[in-house]
Amino acid sequence: MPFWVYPMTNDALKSMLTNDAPAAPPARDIGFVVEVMKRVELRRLYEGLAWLTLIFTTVTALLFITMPVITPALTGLGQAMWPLVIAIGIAGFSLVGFEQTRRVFNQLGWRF
Amino acid sequence: MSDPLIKRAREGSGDAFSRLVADHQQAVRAFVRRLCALPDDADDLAQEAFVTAWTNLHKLREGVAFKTFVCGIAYRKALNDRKRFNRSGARDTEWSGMQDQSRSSTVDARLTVQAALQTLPIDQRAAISLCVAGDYSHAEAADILGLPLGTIKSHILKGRARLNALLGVPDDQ
Repeated sequence: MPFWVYPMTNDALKSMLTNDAPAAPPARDIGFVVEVMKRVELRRLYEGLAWLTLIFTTVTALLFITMPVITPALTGLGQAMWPLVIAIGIAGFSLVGFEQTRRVFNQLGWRF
Repeated sequence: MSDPLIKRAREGSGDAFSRLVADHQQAVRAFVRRLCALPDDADDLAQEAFVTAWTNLHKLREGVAFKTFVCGIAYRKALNDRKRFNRSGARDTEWSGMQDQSRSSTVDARLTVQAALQTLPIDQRAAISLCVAGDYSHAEAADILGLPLGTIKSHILKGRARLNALLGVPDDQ
């Protein structure tokens, strides 16, 4: 074998493969990391949007199904509660009026 | 999971995951670049593999390295890409053109290595990339490629023989 022919073994094959320039990316590549994280954030955003859309659609569908049943019940309940609302309103006004009157009388020196 | 970075990434920490990407990008990209014809395609595929790893991080088993996990995902993506690639006639022709161009180049040695690798079937190329060009054990390669250990050894033997013949390396085994 002439001297210029280097007898290559499989270690030579390994070194040829490992020294192959296009297959060797840099040890630190911030651009690659940024690109991956950009895709991850985009995926997160799409997943978030998909969840929001799903929740919104489900709630809308539920309301669409249940509102015709619930609305008359709510209206009936509201009408039944009117006397109670009026009574609470009168009681509230009376209490506020009493408290204001008491303060005025206290300032005048008349105590309850 | 013993690796605190993986634990934090599983809990949703983007910072921890970006550190994992920074630590393992070189090994994963080197593996994927040997599988794909073009480096740009390879980097795109490697990025997609990392994103899939992020969403499937809960599937990472105890005792399996993160690098092995991502390489497995990248290999499956490369296989799918190859199937799509083969279905598309136009792209197939383009690829064959590139193959011929690479093979005909005798000036640049790195093109010769790349061209020689591209002539191997994808599973042989993957096995050679992992066990000959990389420092993976046969068992790890079997785990990544989802193939039996015997098949990996056979792929390496056949791949070595073919590469040795193409690159003019005397086979000493």
